[in-house]
Amino acid sequence: MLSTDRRIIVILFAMLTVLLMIGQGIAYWANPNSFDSDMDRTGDNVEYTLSSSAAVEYSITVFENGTDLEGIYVYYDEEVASYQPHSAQKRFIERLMLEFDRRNAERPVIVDADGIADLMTNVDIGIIVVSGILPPTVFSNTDSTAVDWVKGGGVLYWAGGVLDSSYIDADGQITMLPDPGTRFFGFPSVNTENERGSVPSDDRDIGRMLSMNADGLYGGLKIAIPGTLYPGFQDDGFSSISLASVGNGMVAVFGGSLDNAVRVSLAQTVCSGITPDVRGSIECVTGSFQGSHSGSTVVSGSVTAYVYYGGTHIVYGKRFSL
Amino acid sequence: MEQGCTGDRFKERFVRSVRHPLLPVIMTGLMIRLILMPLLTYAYDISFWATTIQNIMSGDGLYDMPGYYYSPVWGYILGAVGFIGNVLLGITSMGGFFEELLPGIELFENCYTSTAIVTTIEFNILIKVPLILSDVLVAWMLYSLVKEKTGDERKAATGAALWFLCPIVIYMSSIHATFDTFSVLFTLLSVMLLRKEHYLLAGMSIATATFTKLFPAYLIVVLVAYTLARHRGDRNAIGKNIMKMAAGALIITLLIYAPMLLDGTFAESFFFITARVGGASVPTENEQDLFALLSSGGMRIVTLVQFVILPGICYLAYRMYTGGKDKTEEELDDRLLLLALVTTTFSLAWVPSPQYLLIIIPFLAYHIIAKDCRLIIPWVVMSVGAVLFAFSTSNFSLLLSLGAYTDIIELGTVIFLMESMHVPVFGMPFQQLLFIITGIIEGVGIWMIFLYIYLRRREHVVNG
Repeated sequence: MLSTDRRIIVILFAMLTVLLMIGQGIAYWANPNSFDSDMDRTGDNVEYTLSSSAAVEYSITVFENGTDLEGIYVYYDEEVASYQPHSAQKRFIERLMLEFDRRNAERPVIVDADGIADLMTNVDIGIIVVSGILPPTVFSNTDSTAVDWVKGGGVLYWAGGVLDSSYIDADGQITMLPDPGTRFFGFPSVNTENERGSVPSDDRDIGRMLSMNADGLYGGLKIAIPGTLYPGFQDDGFSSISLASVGNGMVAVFGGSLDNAVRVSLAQTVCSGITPDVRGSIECVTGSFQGSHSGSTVVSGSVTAYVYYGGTHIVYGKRFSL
Repeated sequence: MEQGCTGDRFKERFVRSVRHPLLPVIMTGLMIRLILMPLLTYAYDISFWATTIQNIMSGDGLYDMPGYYYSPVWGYILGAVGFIGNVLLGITSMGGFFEELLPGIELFENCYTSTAIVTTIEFNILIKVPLILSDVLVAWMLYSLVKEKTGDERKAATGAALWFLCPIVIYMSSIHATFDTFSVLFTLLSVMLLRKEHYLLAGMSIATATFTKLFPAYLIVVLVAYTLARHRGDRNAIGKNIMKMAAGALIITLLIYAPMLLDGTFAESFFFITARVGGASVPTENEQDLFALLSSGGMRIVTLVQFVILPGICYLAYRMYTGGKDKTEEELDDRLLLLALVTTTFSLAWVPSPQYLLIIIPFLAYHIIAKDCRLIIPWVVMSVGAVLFAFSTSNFSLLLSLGAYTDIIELGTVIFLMESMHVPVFGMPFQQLLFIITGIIEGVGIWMIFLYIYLRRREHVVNG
């Protein structure tokens, strides 16, 4: 080989190494991407300014009757039996926290079984449960604390199992309950078959607006429950995502396992603040931009606006109460 | 006067470049790739590259969020490519969710076509461009290697063509969008750097190749044996150069893995290996399904055969060292390249997914041109078999981006074609039947390499 070739090979290797280090820098040390958004309301006029260093799709969803919670909590207790393995719950919660970071929302506070019992004296909070079973401190065949809390105005976000299908007995063992859903909704209402939905549900438009694409039906709620929003998919009479009004409160049920689609759909639901009562008021503006983009819209009354960038691949989000 | 001289020299250099025998090879290969890359894309794998870039954009690195399951090298390249695409080129959308694909998700679940996220055509092109550039660089290196060994530019260009126009190489960069070509690039670089006695850089390069796609790790033993043989009798030189290689490997390992060592995601970066080895020991729910069987039973076999492959490669390396006594530098180089071919082929003799075969191709191409032209037969059988094998897995999902984002074909038609691959033939889905047949063809191609090497060695013995 010519010495020129020899030099070229060394230079080539050096260039490739530099390329890798640039990639590493972008991925870890100096992320060149920056995203931001701002909204300002004057009377009924809302002006928004969006900014992004990368070219992105944006979506602004405006609706009435969003959640108004004092805090969000997530239940996790290694000492208590659960349907989902603790390792799976832990991993899911860690990643859910990152989803909250992405959406500029305050991270949920992790609470154990005793903590959740203490919290259920306050109905102005939301609790996320991904263990697939409620802890014995708030739910059993004789204890209806969790049900009463929801009916009193609490917000329960549920994923990873069949709601109201089992409880943890005095020996710490999981015991099955008949007719899942009855204690919350008054009739058997939860799917126990492992299947997926492929037919868009009644409120799928809202699911599309918020890129909520979970399609698992195991643990999904029955369709046509009054006062329930169905933004996911359905099959055999059950829906993959359901936001149900229960008394003064709400239960949001995500069917399927603790997978990526459920994590994203759950994060979008909690961080946007949608409720079953948004139906009828929700509007959405979409588009794409790079650099900055501004616009305005007219609203009336108290509204929530939720901005996110990236379309299916969400890279940023932020909620505004206007 | 001086200007005229410079102009003449420029003209002369231009004419020489145009007449360069490598040019038609590169032009033909590029043309094929340029036609294929917007039209056909394996939707499944590339949807993960989009998720990886999404996670990087959000500041979550490679492993904090799910989506990237390989060692970091390709992830870093995606970081750079994503930046170019989203920030510099202004590519707005990486892909979208297509509800029409949901009904088929369960049908396609175990055969790597089950995705409802379809990437955009501009994103597909963005990802494929660096892969194609890597293909070009490998072609150039192969050209240089063959030219050096044979002194014949035409042969060197033919050697490069055997890589750059190889159907499976074209498929993997311009259709499948998988990154094995980078692993080949770093492997070939390490071999060339070692032959030129750049031990530190050779160590860095083989480590980078290994952290790109694991399989070049088998070659480390061969490279060490070559170094030992080359400096036989000179303990100082052996010690110094082996230390340099080890230091190079260590430096690049620390450089590549620094973020994972700091943020505690080091274990996650080996998910590619641990998931497969783990999958080998955990029986799947549905062992009746061919793909489930392959991911459990098949991986069990692959794990077990490592106990044959690793000692086998060590033995071959030992033979290289002992047999290298009194050999010239030229002869040692020949042995290195032969052993590289045997090692890469032997390590993949279990008939792997077709993209892994890319690492064999440069060494096979070199031997076809420089040593035994009959090896073209396994080259043809293996590469054509591998393309068909790859198609049996991805089949008509290759048209998803086209169906989702253009009017050339309806998305519904693509889904219908995908579903038609699951029509039962001889008691099993057609796709699985095709998978078996094409896998056998690929396997025959791989094993034929051994046959021809054996025949050549026998001829040598017979001819004295």
